[in-house]
Amino acid sequence: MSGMRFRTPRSAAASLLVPLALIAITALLGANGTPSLQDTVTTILCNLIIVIGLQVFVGNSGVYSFGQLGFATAGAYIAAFLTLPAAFALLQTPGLPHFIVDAHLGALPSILIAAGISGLLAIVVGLPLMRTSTLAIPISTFAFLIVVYNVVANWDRVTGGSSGLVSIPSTTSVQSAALWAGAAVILALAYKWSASGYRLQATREDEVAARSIGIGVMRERLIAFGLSGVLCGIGGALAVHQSGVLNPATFYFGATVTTMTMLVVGGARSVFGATIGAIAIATVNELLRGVENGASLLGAISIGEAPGLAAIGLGLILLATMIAMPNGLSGGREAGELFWLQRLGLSAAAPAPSSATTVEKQAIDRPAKGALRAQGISLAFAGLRVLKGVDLTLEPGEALGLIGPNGAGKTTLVNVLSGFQAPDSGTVSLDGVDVTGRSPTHLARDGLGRTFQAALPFPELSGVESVAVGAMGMGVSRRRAIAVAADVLGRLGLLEQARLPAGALPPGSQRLLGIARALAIEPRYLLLDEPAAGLDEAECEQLVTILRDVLSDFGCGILLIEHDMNIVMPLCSRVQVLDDGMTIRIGAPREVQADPAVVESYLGSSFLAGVDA
Amino acid sequence: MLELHDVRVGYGRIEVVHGVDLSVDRGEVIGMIGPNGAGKSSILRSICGLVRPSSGKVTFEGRVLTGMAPEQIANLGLALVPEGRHIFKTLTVAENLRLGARDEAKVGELMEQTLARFPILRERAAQRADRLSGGEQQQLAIARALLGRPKLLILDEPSLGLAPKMIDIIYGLLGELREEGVTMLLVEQNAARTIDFCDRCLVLSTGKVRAQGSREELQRNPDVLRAYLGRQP
Repeated sequence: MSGMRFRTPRSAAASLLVPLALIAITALLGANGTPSLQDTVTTILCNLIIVIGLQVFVGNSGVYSFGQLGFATAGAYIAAFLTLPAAFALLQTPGLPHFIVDAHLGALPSILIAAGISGLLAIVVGLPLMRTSTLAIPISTFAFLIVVYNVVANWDRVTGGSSGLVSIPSTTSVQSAALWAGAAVILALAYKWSASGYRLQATREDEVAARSIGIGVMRERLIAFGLSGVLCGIGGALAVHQSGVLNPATFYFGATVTTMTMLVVGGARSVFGATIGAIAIATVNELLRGVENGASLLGAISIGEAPGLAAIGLGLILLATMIAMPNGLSGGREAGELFWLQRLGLSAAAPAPSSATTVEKQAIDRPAKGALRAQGISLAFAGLRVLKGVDLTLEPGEALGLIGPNGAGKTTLVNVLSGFQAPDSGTVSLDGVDVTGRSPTHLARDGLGRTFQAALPFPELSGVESVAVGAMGMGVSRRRAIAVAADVLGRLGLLEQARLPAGALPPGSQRLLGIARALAIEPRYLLLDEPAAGLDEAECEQLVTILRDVLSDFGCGILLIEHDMNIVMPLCSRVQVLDDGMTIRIGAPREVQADPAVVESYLGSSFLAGVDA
Repeated sequence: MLELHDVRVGYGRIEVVHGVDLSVDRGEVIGMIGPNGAGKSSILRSICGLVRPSSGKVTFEGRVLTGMAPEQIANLGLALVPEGRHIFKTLTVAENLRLGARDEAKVGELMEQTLARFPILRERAAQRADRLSGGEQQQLAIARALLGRPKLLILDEPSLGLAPKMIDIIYGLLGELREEGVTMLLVEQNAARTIDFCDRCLVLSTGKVRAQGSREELQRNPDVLRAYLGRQP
């Protein structure tokens, strides 16, 4: 193999062991304390599981959900139903079916069933909710939370209504809560580092770019939503088995705000952040609550009662964190990614990969005949006709230049070809199959890669991750995705920079990384929208060399939108000129360059003067 | 008018501008050229208050700009036409222009002057700004900056992403402004065009000024240009 990887074993171990150690320390402190301290610590650990559940969805998708506590409610009630002693069940929940009342399960099976049903509920609820836009999800999930509350509060015969349930067996100990919390950390990290987890993180970094490499945004969000539902359900079930009482408000607004504060203060992007956020906020909260009820410091200074102090304190902590550390206490990093841990030798940054091995090409099965063909594409925006019946054919292995004045419709045509924009009329076919109206995700899987006028990097993902996630969008294994990334990065001369976050790279490298990302899907056709914009002259020359290699090595067809004729002319065998939504000329570069109509509308007479001189 | 003295700019632990001096006098047109990563944009950002220099001083008409907020600096009469244009996409062309004006009393007069200079914008005044083509958006960005009657116009890669003919049109407009005595500071990738257009150019590379002078002076030492700019001019 290439020796390329996302992280060193030591870094992975640190990321896993540090949160586990924090949980173990918290549990040890609690287990040896007074019964009331034991209760407090158990509650903290149950909350921690819910916060990690939140992290799985919010941290990886970058979309806030205010509905996850609804799944904790579901988990809690299910666990309570399954364990409530029969006498109490008859009194409190007369409407509950007999098979549930008679189940009399132990703690573990009840928690597992609660987790499973919460997860299923999350999938069912997520199916419509995840279809709503990034901005609508916080609202729609919040609406779900309110629905859950009202169902539980008003279904008196089954849930005990707003007065709730009591006498649920208290079986959760500090130890069992700690074990579950540890399992939650492992599960959350395993998901985050899985191909699916990376695909979701890519949608967080840039939704449009993620779709262009074949990632189904809704599908990935739904997976995390379901997993988050499982974890929240476990947290809820454990909590009810600790307190022994449950009412509809247990996991409602208050708990939603508290757990969200924990996640945000700790840093939503990392499991480490969720862990330290949950523990730190809970500790501060307990201290403030002590003061709230009147307490004495060191036995000397006594403080009177201060109701509301805990809530005010939490608010101030949230505000201060948002101002001073927008990415939370963890900075959004996992423990293994912390610089000071790396400096202490307890973790290690990924090594700069040395050399890449060549990967067998086209392991993804795609028909090797035909072309990308657009016929009679027309499109209008609010009455403004942008494309007026454009035809275009791109053969595998050829480079076709697409030039024309600004506003001619070049980018719109690429958007139509790649599925980002549906045409009003006309058809797009790929290797003989009509693909008009297919989604960008679908087309990317069919072998259509593209870049954008802006580089659209995945800022927080490293170069390797950014490119490998392209291959992961095709559903190949992680191992192979990394090998593909190493190969592509090597060809584009990006290996040195590949372990840095993409957002930290200079603009020229970000653009090349965008091309590398599109190549990682092993496209049959590659659409490049102004790849040289913003590149300096040395970088432009490098780009021409790279694109030549891509043509010969990958054998894909390249459609090149570019204003710099020094790039278009040497690369392209044919050039198509668009003006005002119509093709005005197709031909060899030299012919097109000399065409009076092209000079008039696009190149300008000073270009000719430059050529003559 | 604008003076930079030993300005250093860093992001985190990495310093990208290592002590740059620069002065722009009233009516001058100054260009900055150099490869990506040379620090051109960082210098512009430090002038406009978008990043605070780690050391050194920026003054404008004798006032120290270092530490001022971007909007305070803009109100002193420095207008930045940012790379990538940053127009207000969902507002109309006319609304975009209106927002550029700072002298409320003379808005009507200034709008008229500006629209006379940019006929395409008059034609499209009622359209949403994101419906304009790239070249028209660039004109809008420049026009919006001019409505504030800036003393100094700062342009970051005005030709980025534009068709060759549109670049000619933009530079035609900038040429008119130069004739009227508008002071300009210009960053561009295309070295030859910038050297031709500006009174004086600074050649930057890896955070330092490597050469500067008028077109004639720069053309006298082609080795320097080749070393820092590659094939041109």
